[in-house]
Amino acid sequence: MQSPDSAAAHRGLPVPPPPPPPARRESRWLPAIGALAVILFVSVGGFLLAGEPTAAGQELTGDRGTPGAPVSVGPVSVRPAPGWTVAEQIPDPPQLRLNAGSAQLYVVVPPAQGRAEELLHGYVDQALAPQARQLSVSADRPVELPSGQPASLLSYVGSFEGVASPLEGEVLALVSPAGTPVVFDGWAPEGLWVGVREEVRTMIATAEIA
Amino acid sequence: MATPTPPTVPPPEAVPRRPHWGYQTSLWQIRQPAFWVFIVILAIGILFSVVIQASFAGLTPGGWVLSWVLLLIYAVPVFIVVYALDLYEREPLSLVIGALLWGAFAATTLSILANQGWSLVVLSLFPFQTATQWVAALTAPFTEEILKGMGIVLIYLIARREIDDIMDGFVYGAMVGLGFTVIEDVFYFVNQFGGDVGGVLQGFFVRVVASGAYGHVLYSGLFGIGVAYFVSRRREASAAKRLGVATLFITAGVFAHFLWNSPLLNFYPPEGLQDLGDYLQVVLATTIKGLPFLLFVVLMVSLARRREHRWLRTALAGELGGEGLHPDELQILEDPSARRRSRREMARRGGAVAAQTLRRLQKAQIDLAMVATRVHHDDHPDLVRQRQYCRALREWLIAYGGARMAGAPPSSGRE
Repeated sequence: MQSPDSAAAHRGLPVPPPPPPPARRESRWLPAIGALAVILFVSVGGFLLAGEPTAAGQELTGDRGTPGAPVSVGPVSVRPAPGWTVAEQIPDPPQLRLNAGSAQLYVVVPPAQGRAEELLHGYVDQALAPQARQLSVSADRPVELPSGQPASLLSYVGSFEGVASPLEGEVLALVSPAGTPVVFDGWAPEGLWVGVREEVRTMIATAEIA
Repeated sequence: MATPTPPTVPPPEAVPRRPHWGYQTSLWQIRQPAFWVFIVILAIGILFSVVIQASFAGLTPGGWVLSWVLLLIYAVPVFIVVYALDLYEREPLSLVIGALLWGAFAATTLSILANQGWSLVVLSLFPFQTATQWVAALTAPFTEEILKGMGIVLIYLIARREIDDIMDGFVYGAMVGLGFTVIEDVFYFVNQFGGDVGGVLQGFFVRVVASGAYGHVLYSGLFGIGVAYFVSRRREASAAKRLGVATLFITAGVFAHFLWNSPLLNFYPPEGLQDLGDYLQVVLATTIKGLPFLLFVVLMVSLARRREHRWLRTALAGELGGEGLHPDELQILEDPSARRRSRREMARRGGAVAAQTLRRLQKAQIDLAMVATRVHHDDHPDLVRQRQYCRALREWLIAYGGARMAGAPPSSGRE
């Protein structure tokens, strides 16, 4: 059987135009799945690539990098993590501030007595809160340093006078077996704290207290 | 002699049905997978945002309320201006509001997560000091622009026919950006500027008065233009060209955001806002970083509007001089300010009802252009009905006002 085209050509008539191609069906599922994949990758891909799926649940391990030479703050000796330098050192009461960019670790041997929890809350009430315009503090929790030293820890986030971006950090207080009270306060701009927290914890964990 | 009874104004129900007039589609497209992706992510985002907003409200109730009041004062006019940019075919309100909500709740919630994750990557790649300086520039411009932009892409996938020119892309993009900036600003006012009255007002100055024209509305508007160019110029440009131009616009939006967040060209007062000079310095600093991109967007929007004018003239070419549209009416129709002037004049001469009826006539004539582009025959019933509707409105206006059409040139002699 002849096709209409070949029949027309056979009779010397112009070949009729071919029928229009069927309308292209636009896929509905594929682009939606693609968009979802992009959204998921952008949202959680950073955690996967950085190898840190969750920022929570890290413990005080003290096993990162090669520390620098010890810096003394009264009876306490702190070994700065790589990249950390001494920003301020005050003898009385013994205070030390280390920094790495905008991340800070403040160590103080307060002239106060009491249990670790009392030291912790005293520091928050007398040092942190008066400087803060907004301050949100977690409940304190007991922790144990690798040396077996018990301590008390809390997290905070807030905005502070003279500081452009909100800060987040952790305060750890302990009383050494010899009765020396020490407070460690580490902080960084909000969002960056999670990146330096391990270094700060390492410095705290490896600090030696006379 | 009996006075002729003026014809009654055709009731709104008499407006001819527009089956898909320029193809108006609502957000609610339950058969589209993209709709469900959009809705589920938006719902999750709203839940998270409610929790976050409740915590802000608990932290500083007065500051939180003041933040919202101030931001609504900014956002409502911006919404109206952006929505009205589309001269002839306003986008369906459900899609526009969907875009706004995506920016406000979905994109902000996802960005909190994304920025945190990608900050870790930046911190792992660069020395800490460098990373802290550049982390805001190396994360948010990419994560936030892509997450906002995905809202525009999903809206396109939900209602493909609605994005038919770059102006449409700009409108959806700007709406996504507007939603995002409102929620982000509340966060900044409460967290970074302290949340008290003074802090919120200071934040409003820095982030809205000094920078409101340069932020997320601009970045996402550029993203939207890119998406719209890619999907709407299939007949005019090759895929490679469309992809290239779209990439250029999207990159421009990301780069504008990158420059804003980077330490480059940073002229902000180093000690914060102490005196009037510092406030002026903030305005200068934001202008340097933002103005070039704003001018670029203004140029693009102007070109898009010119294109819309040409499109209207082409669409109505076959109707000119017919019962639906007179030549002098086209001149008025093309110019939004002339349309407003003509309605004011009509209100003065014929009262509020006459002005409203003139507005309906102008709208009906724009609809006539849309119907004309949709149908393939000059005597298509939809087209005939639309013409008759225009004529009925005009006849009512002439009879009711007893005068020539407001805004028409005196020499038209049509009355």
